Amino acid sequence: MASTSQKPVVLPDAGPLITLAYADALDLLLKPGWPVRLVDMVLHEVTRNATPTSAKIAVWADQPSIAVQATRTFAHYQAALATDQAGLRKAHLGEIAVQEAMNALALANPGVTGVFLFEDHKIARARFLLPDNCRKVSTRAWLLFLEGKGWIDSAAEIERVAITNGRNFSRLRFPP
Amino acid sequence: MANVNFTGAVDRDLLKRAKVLAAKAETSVNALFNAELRYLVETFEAAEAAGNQNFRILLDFSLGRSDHRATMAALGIDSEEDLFLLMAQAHLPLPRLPETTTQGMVDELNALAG
Repeated sequence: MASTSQKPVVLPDAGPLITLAYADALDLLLKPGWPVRLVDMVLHEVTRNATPTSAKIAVWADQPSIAVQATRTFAHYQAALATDQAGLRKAHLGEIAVQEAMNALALANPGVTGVFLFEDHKIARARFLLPDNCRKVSTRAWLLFLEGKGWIDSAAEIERVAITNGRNFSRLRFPP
Repeated sequence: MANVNFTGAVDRDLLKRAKVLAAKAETSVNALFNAELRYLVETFEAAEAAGNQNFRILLDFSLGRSDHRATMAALGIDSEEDLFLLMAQAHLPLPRLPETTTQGMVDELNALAG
């Protein structure tokens, strides 16, 4: 295990938070004992609307062991929200804030590894400029890592529960 | 309706899990495959008949042919949770990275854990 001062920091994107919330498994982010930081814009994105998981994530994020990382992206969003709601951009600001968090970690804590969690499709498609001390890791890889360590019985089961609960809780009409 | 045999390839781990599921549900992998394929085809056809392109948009996303930004824009949604729920409702899996890529990330995490 890495020394306390050099422990990696885990920064989940919206997708992993949503998936794990549907699986009632947000605490799996804490399993390795690494600090968890939530990027403020990402946290806002997953809690700003009332959804089946928004309250659950908000309560989970409120525990003392989880830090919220402030970004200029969120500050700008809040300022814009107060002045120009009609023309306010909302989509994908979390990705910009995550890139900002990566840059901040590279500049302020180059000796600390940032483990940025995403769903597979963002790792494949989103174009992040990844500093040397940052890693992109998928939710599935995270769960398989935990399974390999014996901290959970089955990574596949966690994903299955998330999908099943998503179908059960969905208030969306399909086809949309 | 007459059944025919065909040959295809499937992820080894997925087949293993399907066999476990079939055993628990007291059915066969073949029956599960038919049920899901029928759902996919009939949902696609129903959407097309209604002039609704949204299932096609989700299918393209599932197959990795379009990214989440284009998909969300085409569907008129701005929430990743809505995309997750629509994919779940459509019985379509989220796009997956190759197993070797995922294993590489697991190896990185193991190295960090020491």
